[in-house]
Amino acid sequence: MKVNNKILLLAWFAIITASVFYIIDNVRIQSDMSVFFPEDGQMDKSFVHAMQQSQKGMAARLLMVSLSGATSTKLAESNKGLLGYLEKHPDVFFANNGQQALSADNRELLFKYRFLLSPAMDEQTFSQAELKLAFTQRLRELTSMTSMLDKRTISRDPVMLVRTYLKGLTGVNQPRRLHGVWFTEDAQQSVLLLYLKESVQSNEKTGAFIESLQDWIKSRQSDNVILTVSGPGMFAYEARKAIERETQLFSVVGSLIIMLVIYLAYRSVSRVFLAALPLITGLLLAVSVTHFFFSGLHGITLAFGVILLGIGIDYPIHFFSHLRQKKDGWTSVKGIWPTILIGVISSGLGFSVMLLSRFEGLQQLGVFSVTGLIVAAVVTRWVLPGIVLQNRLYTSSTQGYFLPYRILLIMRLPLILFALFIPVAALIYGNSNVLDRDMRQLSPVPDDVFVQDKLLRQQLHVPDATRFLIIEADTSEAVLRKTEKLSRDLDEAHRQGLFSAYQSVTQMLPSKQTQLRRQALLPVLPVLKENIGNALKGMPFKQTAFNGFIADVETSKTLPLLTMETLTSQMSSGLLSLKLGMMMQQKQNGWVSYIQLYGVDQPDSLRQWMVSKQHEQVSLIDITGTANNLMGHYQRDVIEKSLYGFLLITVILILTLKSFVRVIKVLLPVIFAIILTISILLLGGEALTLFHLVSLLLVLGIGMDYGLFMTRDENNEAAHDTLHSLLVCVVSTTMVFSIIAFSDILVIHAIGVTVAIGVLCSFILSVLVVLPQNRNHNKLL
Amino acid sequence: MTIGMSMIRLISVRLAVLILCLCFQVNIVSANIDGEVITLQTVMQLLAKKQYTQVKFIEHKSSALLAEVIQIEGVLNFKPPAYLLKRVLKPYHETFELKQGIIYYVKGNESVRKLDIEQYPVLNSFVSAYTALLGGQLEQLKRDYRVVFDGRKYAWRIQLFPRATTMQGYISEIRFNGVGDTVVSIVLIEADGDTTTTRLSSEQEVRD
Repeated sequence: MKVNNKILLLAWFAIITASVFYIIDNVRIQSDMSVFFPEDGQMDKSFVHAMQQSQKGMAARLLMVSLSGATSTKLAESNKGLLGYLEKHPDVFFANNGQQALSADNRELLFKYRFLLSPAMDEQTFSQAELKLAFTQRLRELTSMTSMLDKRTISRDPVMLVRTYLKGLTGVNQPRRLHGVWFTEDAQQSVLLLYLKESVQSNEKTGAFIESLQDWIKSRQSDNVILTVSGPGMFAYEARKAIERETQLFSVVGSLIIMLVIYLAYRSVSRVFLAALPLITGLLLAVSVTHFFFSGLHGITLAFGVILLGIGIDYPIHFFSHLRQKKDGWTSVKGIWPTILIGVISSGLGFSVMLLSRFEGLQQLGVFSVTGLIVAAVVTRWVLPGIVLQNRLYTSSTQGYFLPYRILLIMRLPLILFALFIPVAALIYGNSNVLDRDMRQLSPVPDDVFVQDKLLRQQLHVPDATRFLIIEADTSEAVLRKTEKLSRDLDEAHRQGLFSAYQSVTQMLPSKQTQLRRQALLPVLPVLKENIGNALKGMPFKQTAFNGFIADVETSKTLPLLTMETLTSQMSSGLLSLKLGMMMQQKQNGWVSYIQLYGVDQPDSLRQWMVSKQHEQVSLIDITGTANNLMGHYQRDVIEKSLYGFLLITVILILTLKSFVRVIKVLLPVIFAIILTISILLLGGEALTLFHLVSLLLVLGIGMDYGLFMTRDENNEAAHDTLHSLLVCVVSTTMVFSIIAFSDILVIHAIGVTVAIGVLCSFILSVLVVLPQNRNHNKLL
Repeated sequence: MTIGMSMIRLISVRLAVLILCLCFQVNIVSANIDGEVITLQTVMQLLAKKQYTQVKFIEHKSSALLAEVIQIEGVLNFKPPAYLLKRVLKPYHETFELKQGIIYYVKGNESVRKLDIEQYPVLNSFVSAYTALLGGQLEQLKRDYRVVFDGRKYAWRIQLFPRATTMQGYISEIRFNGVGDTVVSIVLIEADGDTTTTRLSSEQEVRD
């Protein structure tokens, strides 16, 4: 080994070591979606705020637990046991399974303030006619089978202000209750919900918590009950688990396939491992460099980046195939380096166009893929030749390697015709919805987890926090007044059927203005007594029956008005205070209240209605819709940048190859391969997601390399090596990505299917179109 | 002498009364020994045999809020294990029907209100006292209530005292009086002292 080889190796080793240490010390994978939002100022502030709420607020800390697989009695027992466990759990902020109604303290507090809080309070509440009607109804209730439910309040609240108030709070239906706890409508699953403490809001901690629940249920072996967890925290946990599981599986299977193919191709164990060096080095440095420039690396960037680096495995394969016994590694690599270099420059610059994106996530991806590509090529050029054994090891019959080429060439005409037919068929029979803009495509969470989440949300009447109104103001009183004004309009919209229900903070806490107005409605004592006396005439009630009511009216006249602060300070913890905290919050620059909308079937109509009402500082947030729009922007951005990248690649190829004809030969097959891939995907019923599009970039890079190698002007020996290396490349890449296509995770499947089809099409089309034009290569076949 | 005779007569009468009383006591004791006194298990078995019960009822409600006792009338239907219909016909119309855990409640001409009885644990426990007793389900009854039984020949009295503290806040006692396999009256004493006495009559029933 020459001295400069040793220096290169040492330098390589030092860089790798430094990179590993840098990654261990600094790199944490981000999951905050905000890096995938456009930069500041380009995004609606309320939306960003809402996204943060849905990612970091109370809604993100919600977990829904279902128990199934046993009799309803058994399930209810387990549910009660689980609630007991959760109430003592240090990570749990609040848990409810339907057993707990309003706490006695809170009920007492609300009862005391009923005249100020209840929406049933109006000018007529204390009129003789209203009181007579109320007394008649209460008399009937007294003799009813259900009398005991509200009987205690009859004497103090005959006009049922508390009942109306509480009904407003639980305006949305409650879950079905069986044996004292919540159940799904079909009584097959017993359910409860819980909110984790803020400190538990990390993937690891949530994961550990969910596992502790599973351990708890396992410890009750006799129950045979199945515990299922759902909710945002569960999504993150499931996503991590799914990614870990699938990446482990596919990386092991993929690596084994590549190792097997390389071993079969070169009959050398050492080359199997050496082939991985450029890719691993590329990956490590890409992670470090991207993190260094952006002070972070997003999980999605990493996933996309790893796909794009798939191209890096081809470089050592080309090198190994061109190794000759009579030449050392340095000579061999020099022979192919110009072609690899053109590929690296073209692909690298093509990918670098993503740096111009408005989204930091795509900028990260640009840096990542360019760094990885360059490093993989550099390691192939300057590290591998120094450590690879120089003898040619593969001895199999070359005729065997040529066979696929010969078959393809024999079937050239029918294959070309067939290839031309596929896009036409796709236009007629393919999926007409070409682009899939659903934000869900970014999530690796399996579909059944989403289905379970949707079911439990429906059953527990927990909104999925994707459609709500945000009302902002400087003070809490101002925000409450605005919310009240909006609520009056919402009642009208509700009557029009724009949504099925809504919940706002003013249903719990009216503004001071409203409370004052209600306080002013309380009659003076003689009037009240007279009205009650007259209303009681001819009724069996005692004259003193409603003295408690009279006393409470008097007391309420001097009650201090409730504010957000005074209500929360007096309220004991529980579902009510939790709801209050979720519906109204203090921010740095003021106050904000959220109105949760249920059952919005026609978001566009609702939006139009909102615009017509012209409420100031009120925003209708539609996270799903906006996120899907964002996904659309992404796709457009990727397509746009890819087109720029493609133009750049063409220019570079023209400049470097100095032959327009060769540029056409290189690009034509890969362009048509991309068209074919899209057509096949559409024919298969798939719509193109962001992952398909990014994968097509890899197809472009790899396919271009195939074209570059197939159009090389080289002697017989080199041509022989090229055909060999190309076959090894296409077999390994197609096999690995075909396996990946079987993933249950939508994202991984999209990558696998796109790259496998794309690379195979690129290769076949290059063979069909380019190879017959290349005299040297053609001669061999 | 007269005084002495009077004294003897008085003593004789008292003695005779005492002997009669003793005889009556002996009779009662012997009746117990002979097994003629009905037991709780027997009552429950008798009630469990009934397939369907339809009775008229007259209910009297006295309450601390009311100056007078209110009377309502109607019909009560029960079909084991848990179908219960209480239809008030006088002085107003009201229907309370429990069918498969759902209460269908109709006031006058108003539309039907559906209530899941599980949503109202107190009401659920209260209603289950009726259904469990009328259905002869002793174990179910004992789950929610402490059961005290008193039986004399075919006449019996079952007193139910709620076990749960929450329920004790609403109900002090539910008392069922009956003869053989027939419930004659139900007395509900609420925690605040309000009392409802329901007398059942003209029973039509289907037996095995």
